[in-house]
Amino acid sequence: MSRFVEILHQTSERLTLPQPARSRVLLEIAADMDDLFVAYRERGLGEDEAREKTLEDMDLSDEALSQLAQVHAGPVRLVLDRLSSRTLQIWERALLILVVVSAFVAGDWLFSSDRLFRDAGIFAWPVLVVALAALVLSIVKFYQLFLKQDHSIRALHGSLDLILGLSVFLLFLGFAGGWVEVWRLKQAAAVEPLPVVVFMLRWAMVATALLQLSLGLGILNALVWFGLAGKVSHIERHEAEVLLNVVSPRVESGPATGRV
Amino acid sequence: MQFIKQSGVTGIPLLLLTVVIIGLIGFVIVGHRRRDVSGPLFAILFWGFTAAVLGFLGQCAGLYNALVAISGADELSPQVISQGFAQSFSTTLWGGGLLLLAGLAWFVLRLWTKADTHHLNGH
Repeated sequence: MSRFVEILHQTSERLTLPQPARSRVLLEIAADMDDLFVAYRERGLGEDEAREKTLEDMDLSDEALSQLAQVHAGPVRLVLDRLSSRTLQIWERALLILVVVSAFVAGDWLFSSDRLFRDAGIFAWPVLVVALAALVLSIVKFYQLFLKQDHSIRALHGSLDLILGLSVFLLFLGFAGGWVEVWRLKQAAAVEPLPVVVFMLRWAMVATALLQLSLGLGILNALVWFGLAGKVSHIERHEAEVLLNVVSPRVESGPATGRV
Repeated sequence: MQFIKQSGVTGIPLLLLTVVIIGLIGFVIVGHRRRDVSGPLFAILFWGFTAAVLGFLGQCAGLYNALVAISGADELSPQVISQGFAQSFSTTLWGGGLLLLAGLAWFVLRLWTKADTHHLNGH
């Protein structure tokens, strides 16, 4: 429980933000307040005086809170928050798994991934590198959230946006690569002329293989983000509840490395 | 039925997604006075988007598989090629159609449930 619980309660009621953004903002305010309090204590101030100085320094006016809400209430952020805080029911999880499995069966990924990779042209390599980078980031995040259970507020969201951003970048690489392949085939056709049908077929093959690869890996990465973001959203809400003394801290939430 | 067959492996999940989206629309219409339907409302959009992505991925896979078959064939029949291409587009049409339905339903139902709740609270 925070030493500023009353102030945080009042702030929570004044914040015009949906969950989980409200919990996130509240946790950030609490962390800032605690930092200030500790700094004043280290300067030799007594507890009451340090508390008073902290409250004086923190701008929790309506105007400041509304600006804070605006920062956290962009349309993209709201949609992502809504998505990450969504808990899938069992039938929804089963449907999602079925959708993903059918997508990969349709693409025949298990048995023709070698050929798919070869047909995707040179852009398959950057796609693979970006997908691997996303995988490494996801593993690090997974380790932080589930094994190390480092739930410090400032590290909680770190790299999550990047993981989703890499999914979007994979999609971009898929489309951009398709258009670059047109130019490359045209250059090759200038040296060795090709019938138009063969030219079109070759390009279509490269483009569809590359899109399949980039879109498939992008979807897998987005699903990993969905799982990790859901966990972060859950932690944020729980930490905020603990902070406001709504629920008691749980052992499973790990060491409270956050300053809450 | 022909449309489902044309969509190949992705036809079954697309059919399930169609049922789910229609079911969720019905659930929101029937249940909005008894419970909070913001979750199911968002779910309509979520599954609509999933259907569109699956449809597009299905098209890429269908086209690629058709092109692999064409590249291995000794003779090319324009009729076979055009048929293959037409078939691969069915998943995108289906997925895109579902996204359109889901988007429209989400927009209309959101306004309608809000207006209805407001009306109920007013009386």
